[in-house]
Amino acid sequence: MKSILIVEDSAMTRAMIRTALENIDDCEVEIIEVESGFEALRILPSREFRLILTDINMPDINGLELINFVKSNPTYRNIPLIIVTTECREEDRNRGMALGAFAYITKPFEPEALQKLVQKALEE
Amino acid sequence: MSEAREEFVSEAEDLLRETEDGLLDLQETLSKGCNPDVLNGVFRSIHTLKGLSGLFGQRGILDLSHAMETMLDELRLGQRELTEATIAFLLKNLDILKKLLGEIFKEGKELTSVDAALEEIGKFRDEGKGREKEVKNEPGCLTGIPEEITKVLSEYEEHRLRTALKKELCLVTVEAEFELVSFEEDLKGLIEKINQLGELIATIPKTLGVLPGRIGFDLLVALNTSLSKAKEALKLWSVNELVPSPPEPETTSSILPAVNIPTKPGEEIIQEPLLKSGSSTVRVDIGKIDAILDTVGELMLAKGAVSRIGAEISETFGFGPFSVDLQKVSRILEKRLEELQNQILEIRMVPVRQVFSRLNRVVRRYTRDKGKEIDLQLFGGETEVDKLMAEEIIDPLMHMMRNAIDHGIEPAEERLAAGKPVTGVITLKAFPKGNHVVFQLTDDGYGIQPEKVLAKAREKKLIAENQTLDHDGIVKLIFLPGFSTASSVNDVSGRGVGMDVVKEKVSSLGGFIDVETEPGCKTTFTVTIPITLAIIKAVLVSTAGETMAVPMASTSETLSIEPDMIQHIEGKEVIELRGKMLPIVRLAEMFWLYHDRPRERYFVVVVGFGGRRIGLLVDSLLGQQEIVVKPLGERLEKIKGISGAAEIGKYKVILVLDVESLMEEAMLSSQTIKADSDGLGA
Repeated sequence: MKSILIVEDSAMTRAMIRTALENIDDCEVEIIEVESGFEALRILPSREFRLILTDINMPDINGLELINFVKSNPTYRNIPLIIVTTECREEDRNRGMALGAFAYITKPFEPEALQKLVQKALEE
Repeated sequence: MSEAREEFVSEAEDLLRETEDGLLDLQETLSKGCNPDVLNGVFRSIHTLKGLSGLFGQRGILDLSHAMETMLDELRLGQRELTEATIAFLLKNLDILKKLLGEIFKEGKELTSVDAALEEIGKFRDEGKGREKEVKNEPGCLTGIPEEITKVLSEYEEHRLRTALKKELCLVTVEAEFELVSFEEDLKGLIEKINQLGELIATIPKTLGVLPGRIGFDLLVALNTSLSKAKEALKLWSVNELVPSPPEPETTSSILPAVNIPTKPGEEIIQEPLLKSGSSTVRVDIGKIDAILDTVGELMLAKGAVSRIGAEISETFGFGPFSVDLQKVSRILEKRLEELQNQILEIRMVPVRQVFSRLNRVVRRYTRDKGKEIDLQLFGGETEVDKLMAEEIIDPLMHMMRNAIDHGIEPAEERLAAGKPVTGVITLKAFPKGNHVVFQLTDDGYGIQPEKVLAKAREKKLIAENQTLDHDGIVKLIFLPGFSTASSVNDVSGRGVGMDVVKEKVSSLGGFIDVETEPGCKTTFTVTIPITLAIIKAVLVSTAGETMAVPMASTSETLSIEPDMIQHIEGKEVIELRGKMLPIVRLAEMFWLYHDRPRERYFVVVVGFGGRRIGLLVDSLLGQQEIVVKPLGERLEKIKGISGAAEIGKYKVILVLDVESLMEEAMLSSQTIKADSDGLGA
């Protein structure tokens, strides 16, 4: 079972992402949802995550800070991150990519597009 | 409604409420400068709403929230100045969003077109273009800030940093390290301290040099105070200066009034935390909590059976070790069930601040529309009340508030002539009182003129020509159906509903309403409602073979009487209670129940508060019980005297009495007795 972490403060968006991920063929995943960056920091050591999907604009720490944290930590640095954000935040998205994110997808997204991206990230 | 849609509407509602609260907060504090955290909060809410509506395919909300987000983004990044007009404009568009959401809730889809609104936003943005404040990404601004910090800042954080640099504030990083398992609480504590000292720009988690099981943070802070003060306040952590501020730190503190905004005296202080907590809350449908309450109600019944069996065993077989054990267990069960019930009720509690903020909005808009100057003072926002109660009480309060603005507070010229300050004051206080919450709404306007009320009541034939009433009695006539002092129907309060509707609503919630007035000076309406309707203590009574429940909260005592103690005054039945006349209502007659033979002994349940009391005559008292009150449904809810039904024992359903409306019936018919004997005093 592959564990995937979703970091996103909107419950609805989390649910949408979860539905998309649960419907990936031939791939059993365990999906952990958290609603803030702080929670993400706390849950990270609890298991071996294979992928993190994160929003940028969050209340406590922003997604960029989370990406940087993951990428600069020897234990986590191999976990790919996908940025899930709205199309207008281009500047933030670029910064996230510069910090080492694997890919980004803009909201609203097609479930198939997210599924493809996730599959690709899991193959890495 | 589909579950997904329900979830969407619920989350969107929350976001709109947050947006509204934020905008109102900004409006209130604008004169002291724009609070960047509140503005960012508003941006975030609309941003989230946009993402949400996009995922859910709600085109209208998506487009409109997108346009608003763009505007808010410009505002928070300082590319546009926040003005009173901008806030009003945003509030106007917020209303459209609310309307759309209402349509989705009711009709399942958006009906209103947002084209006009989008065009207006376009125009509004074009008009503001000339006033753009700051050019994006000014070069060379971030010297002195290490790259490992700048590279993780979001665009917004970078803007806050630039603003701080421009204001020549002293920039520091605070290094902190906590246990991973409990860092949120500790970090929150530190952030609270930092908020006293300046603005927290970014919270950056770090890995390097931190022990396993712990987590480190660099907090980037723009200080409002001197470095030495900050170091003193944060002496448990290490504070490193990145960019020093120029000398004279005193002057800098007045430049950035964004933190610790002083509020006007009397105004409720709603502290906007700098960072929303990464809270561990869950949103639960109230229906689910009700289902748990039902189960607890059934457990209560089962517990009742257990203790009854226990009593029977000891009666039949005497006190053996088994019956003692059984009693012990049943007591523990009772105690735990009570705890469980209280815990569930607590979950349903919300602070009335939620109600206040919605009222606040109405007042602002109406005062603007009516051209009256009104200072709304709200107290006791922290008072807690059941979520459903909070929802139900909004309309009555809203109506009373509109009344106060419309009929209570005089126009400016009249106020001046009367020697009053131009600005009218409306105070709304909430406070707990036993198992009730009291709302007190006072306006310092006209007051209620008894002569006018009396004349109107006579004209409308609501009272007999020759009927005499005392001051209080007259003022209370405004609660009679069909009474309305407004001679014209207007936009604000005259929507065809009067105080009678307010009273009816309050009464259906098991509450009471009262009014006091000093003509020419002020009027105070006092609304008292139970904290919760979900579970109440009730006295079970039996009359003509029917069992009914009288809410304990409105019961003051029970009496046992013989038939000859009932006296007749002008055809009404009364009994003497401690030297005063107490009107009697025969419950059986009230509900047209079959009358059996006269009895040798009756029981009277005395209900009501203060001087307004009546006695309900019943055949027997069955005891006290906690009951879960259920609404009767649309067809039956209009029946006077009944507020709901409850299940007691297996499959036995009884009616729960609405004491207020029963009293009303009784008081109306005993009006003359009251005037004659004056024994009851209204």
